[in-house]
Amino acid sequence: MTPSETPPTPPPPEAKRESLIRWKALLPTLIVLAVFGIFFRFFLDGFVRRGIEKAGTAANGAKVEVDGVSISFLHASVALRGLHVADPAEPMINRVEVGSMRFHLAAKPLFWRKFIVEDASIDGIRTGTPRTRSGALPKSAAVAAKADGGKGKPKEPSAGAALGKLAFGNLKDQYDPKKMLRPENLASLKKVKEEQVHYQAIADMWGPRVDALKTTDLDGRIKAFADRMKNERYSGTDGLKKAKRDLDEAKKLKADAEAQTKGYGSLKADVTGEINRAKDTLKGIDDLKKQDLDGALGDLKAGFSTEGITRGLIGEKWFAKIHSTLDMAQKARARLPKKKAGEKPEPPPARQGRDIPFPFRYNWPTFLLVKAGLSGATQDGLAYRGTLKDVTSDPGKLGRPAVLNVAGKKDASALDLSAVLDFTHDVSREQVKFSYTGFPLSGVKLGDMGGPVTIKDGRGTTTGDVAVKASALGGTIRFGAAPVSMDLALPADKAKDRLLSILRDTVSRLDALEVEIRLSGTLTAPGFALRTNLDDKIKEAVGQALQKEIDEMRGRAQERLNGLVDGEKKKLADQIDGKAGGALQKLGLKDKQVASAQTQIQKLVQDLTKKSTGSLLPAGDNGKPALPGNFKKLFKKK
Amino acid sequence: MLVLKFLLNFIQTLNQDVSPRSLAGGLALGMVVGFVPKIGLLALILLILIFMLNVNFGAATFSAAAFTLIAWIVDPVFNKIGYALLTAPSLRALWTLVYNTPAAPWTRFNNTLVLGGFVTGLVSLVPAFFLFRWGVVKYRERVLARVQKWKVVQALKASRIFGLIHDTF
Repeated sequence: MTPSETPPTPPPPEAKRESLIRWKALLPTLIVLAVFGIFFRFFLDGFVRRGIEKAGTAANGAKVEVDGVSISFLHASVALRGLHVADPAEPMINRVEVGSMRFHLAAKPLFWRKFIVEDASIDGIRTGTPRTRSGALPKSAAVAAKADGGKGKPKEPSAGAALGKLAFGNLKDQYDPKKMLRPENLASLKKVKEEQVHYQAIADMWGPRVDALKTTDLDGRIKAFADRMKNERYSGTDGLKKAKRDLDEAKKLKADAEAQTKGYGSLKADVTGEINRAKDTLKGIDDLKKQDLDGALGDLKAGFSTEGITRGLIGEKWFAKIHSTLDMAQKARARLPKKKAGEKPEPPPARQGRDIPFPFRYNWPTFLLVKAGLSGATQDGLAYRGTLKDVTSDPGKLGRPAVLNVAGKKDASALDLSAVLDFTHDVSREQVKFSYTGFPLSGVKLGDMGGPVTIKDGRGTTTGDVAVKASALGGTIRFGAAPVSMDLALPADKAKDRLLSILRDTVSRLDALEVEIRLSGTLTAPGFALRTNLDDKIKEAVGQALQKEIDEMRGRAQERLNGLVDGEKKKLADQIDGKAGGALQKLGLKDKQVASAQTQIQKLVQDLTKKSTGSLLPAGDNGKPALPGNFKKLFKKK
Repeated sequence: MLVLKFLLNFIQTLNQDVSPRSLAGGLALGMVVGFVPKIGLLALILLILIFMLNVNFGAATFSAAAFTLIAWIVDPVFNKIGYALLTAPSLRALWTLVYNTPAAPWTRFNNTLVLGGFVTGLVSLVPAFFLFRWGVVKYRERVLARVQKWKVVQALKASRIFGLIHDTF
């Protein structure tokens, strides 16, 4: 067989050209897509419900539950049944409960991924409804919710907002000096201890420095030199040379004595400086003691001031409600785009990227709720209706603020609420005005003043006008009740307390209650200033008794503070006197020794001058022996 | 365990008589899917493409999983690429046109991460296809033949541990 006759080798399998499209997969793909479609049709509702619950819970810090979700692609509508938002502070209560919500979306914008809710109804809104199961999150979930932007439980009121947090217990127990003045919290005691350590370290340094300045060497050298000089005679040229050597040695001894004097002077100045500083510190400790005492009694004074008592009467719970509402407003604001015109955009969130907008032929924001009808009832059963308009993800594009209006009336009660939330400009403005009149107060629980304060009977009126411009909060909330009767139920053990029994009588005699809360600061750090008609009555009733209690407590606290600090302070004073005294005494002795050595060397130099000039030199013009030029300089009197 | 099963499936596919072209196509398309965030219509379209094109589905799944991990690491680079493309003045008219096209916004193309990942995947698609094909051929020629001769591998095959692991997971 010739090579040309060799049968062609079959092509390798990959060489076989396969079709690019897998036509056989068309039907399975369609089936898979259909399965997906069916799956979405039947399970999307559940997914969305769980999504709302998960996101809502993370934002709320307590459980958010939805009874059911129904999504209709055909009608472009979403319906929610039974939304329950638990209160993180009171997990057995719903912060808000909504019976049903229905949203009808415009179909056309959906093609461009724009969600325009043309019409909505939110019905059965109620607040403060009881729950059958706790809405508190398990510990791990609560931590996760907190990590999710700290949107968990409302923050503890801080700074001036330790709102109404006042314990009207047995004063002697509550303000026990041992609890109020703990050694670890006292700045004065801390300072004394620090000074004791510091002073010990300084004193430990002085000892070696004083000892290092030895006078014995110099003494010995001077004595040896003096002994030698007694028998020394100078004659001839050798005598002159010898005299010069001796004079040089005497000059060196003199310089050494001067240097030692200087060293003592410097050390003495250091020691004296430290002693003076330590004595100043001792004086400063008295000031710190005063500060410690004032600090310990500060809470007591604030708590038992008339404003403190009023806060206690109104109760932390009510201030916390205001705080929580402001907190929610802040969270809602945080979700709005913050970019101002011309501002550099923030870096995109990791693994999310940033959506870049482009000119769009329709003026549709990504989300817009055109109008929603609202209906609900207050806790007292007052039914109301209202509207919510123009809630959008892009207020600048819409150019209109979101507006909420709610009103209702029943017998003597009336509710009117209006809110304008304007985020259309760089500086946002929100204003909420409300008025709720004639609501029943019977059984309303206020604060705790050693026992719960309850309103027995009466009707109340509350009005408010709160505005937030950029981050500045301002406005007033007024509450009034007249006629009203209140009760402070003191437990038996507290009923004997003089101050608390006066407070109970004052509260039971009150027939009108007027409270004005002025808001200031920011949403995140609001300030509350109280004005109330209780001030004068409380001042009048408890003023003297209160002052007496505070004075007695101050005396006890002072005693405890003295006991803790004074002993240590005395130890420090003794330490200063003991250590410094010893060092100074040593320095004084050595100083005397050096002075004596200096005198001795001075005398030796004079003797040596006489001796050498008398025996070695010819007489000068004045009859005295003439000295060579260098010697003249050496013995020249200064 | 799912990861192990993925890996075993992929190695099995690699060692089987599947054409390098189909394997490389699956790996390359899987890479694009891996680079694109799994949000929006784009990921779905790519998934349908994998179903419909004559590429190995196992290889595509493995590749999508592996490149998702890589995408997670190089996310800032994709962001930068996407941002540069979406804000380029010369491309503005194109993006505006796409943005105004019905259904197109559902692809989330105007997201920096989506576009960055997608374009990177698209640009790398053809080179990656040839690279993977070359890699599969070389693997079968040089590595597979040698590994098959290893006593350990033969013993493992004989003991059916491999099959047991595979069946278990």
